[in-house]
Amino acid sequence: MASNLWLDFWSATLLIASVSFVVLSGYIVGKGYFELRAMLRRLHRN
Amino acid sequence: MSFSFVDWSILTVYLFLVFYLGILGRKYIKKSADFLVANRTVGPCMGTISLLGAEIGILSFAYFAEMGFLYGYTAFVAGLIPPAVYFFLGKTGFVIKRFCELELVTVPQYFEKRYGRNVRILTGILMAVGGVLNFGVFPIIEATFLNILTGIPQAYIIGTMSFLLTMVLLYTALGGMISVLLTSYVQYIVKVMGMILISLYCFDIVGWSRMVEAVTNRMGESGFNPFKHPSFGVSFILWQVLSWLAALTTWAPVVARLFSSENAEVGQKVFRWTGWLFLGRSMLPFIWGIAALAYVGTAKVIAIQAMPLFLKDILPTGIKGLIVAAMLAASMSTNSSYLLAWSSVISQDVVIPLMRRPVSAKMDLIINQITVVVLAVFIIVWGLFYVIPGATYFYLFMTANIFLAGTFWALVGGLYWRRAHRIGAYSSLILGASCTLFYFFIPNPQEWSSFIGMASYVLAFVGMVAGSLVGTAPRSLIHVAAGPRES
Repeated sequence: MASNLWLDFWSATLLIASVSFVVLSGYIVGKGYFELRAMLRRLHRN
Repeated sequence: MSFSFVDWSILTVYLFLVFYLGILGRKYIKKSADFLVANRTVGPCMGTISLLGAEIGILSFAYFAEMGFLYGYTAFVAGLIPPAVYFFLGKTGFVIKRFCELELVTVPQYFEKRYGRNVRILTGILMAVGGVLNFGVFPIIEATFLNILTGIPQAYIIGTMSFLLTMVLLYTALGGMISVLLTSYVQYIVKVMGMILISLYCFDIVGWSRMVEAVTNRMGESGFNPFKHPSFGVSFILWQVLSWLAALTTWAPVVARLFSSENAEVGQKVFRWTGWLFLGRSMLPFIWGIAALAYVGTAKVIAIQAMPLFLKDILPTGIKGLIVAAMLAASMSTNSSYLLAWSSVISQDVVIPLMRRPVSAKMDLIINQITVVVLAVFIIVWGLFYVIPGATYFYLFMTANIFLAGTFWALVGGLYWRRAHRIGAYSSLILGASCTLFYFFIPNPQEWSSFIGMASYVLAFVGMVAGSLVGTAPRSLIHVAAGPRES
């Protein structure tokens, strides 16, 4: 019974971890491209 | 050989792309600040990507999967601690906010301002020893992993690893942090794709119910409940919380990212986002380890080799090439970040302060680049000849512990306690390091890891408080305590 509760907890944690990993990775890769480009331009100007 | 022509082609194209980007970073380098912290121009997304680039590697995949294989779902508790600490630091700004505002390059640099040059040098030496011993085992673990996955004989993979490290070395030595950022970006994309693919294959080939069944049959309740497992008691959790607090505020590869941030708010945001992503960083490899347990079983398998053996069996042609590219991406971005971070500690906090005279910007850059080369040669040699005593996970935490415990309390004291004194900092650093050294000389060291780890933090804390109180006590009090002088 206790194992079932722990398993439910770990399953929910894994689900949250997987979804947040994929969604947030997509976001930072998309926005990171523009940040990288801006950073290189700034360094080039200096 | 389990690697096909298609797999090799994917890998070769990827390696050329990464090398080209690494070399490209060179044209943006004009001074030391560009080289070490990209002249503090890094925004939150690139900061997060580069931080994850440093902290997700073949090594982290290997030891997390090993934990999943050995401890089942109970291992998940070790994955919850770092995100919680990241959130705490990102939300409160504890330590990191003041650090960003001070515009420093390394932690020991702060110690020089707060406690004096000799404390900086001692910290630099302890950091260099702990960090280099920690980093020194990366290539051999990665070589073994790639050896299994590609089917290349061990003798050749060592040569391959030397070649890869040389490539990393070239673009790190030439382009510094800017090369690391450029390559980290591409490597992160490949790495995330690889992690998602492996996880999907785990669920497709093995399935959730078979994983649960394997853990239940082999471990019973201790495979699910961390409080029922002897290795994951309350002391483990406390030690890990302290270790992560210390690591995220003093660990050179992490702190280098923080110092590259535009400002303190960006630094805090990077920590909050990284916290979320760190959940996936550990949880997904745990599942790969559990899937390996269900698939290959425990008979005649070394725990750390179970996951690559499992992947070698289940991945089809083409996908295997992509996965190895992802693994190499992970490995190269980790190695380049660690190479840069530890070499900057050695050059900025040990070599240059010991020269005891100001150096020109050009000489500063040359010293940085020479240190990177020397460090790379050392870790290849160390990896080839050193054998890890016991489990990898504990070895890594203990080598880090050589400086983490003492540096953490000296740092917190320096930032938040007016009476913090250099005697306290010395005591904290020496007690924290000497307590940790027991790990390397006792039999069955991993069984004592939690105890030694906790003891080193307690002793370092006592050393910091007692040393500072002695150092700041009025002279008359010290004379009274020492007794009357003979005339």
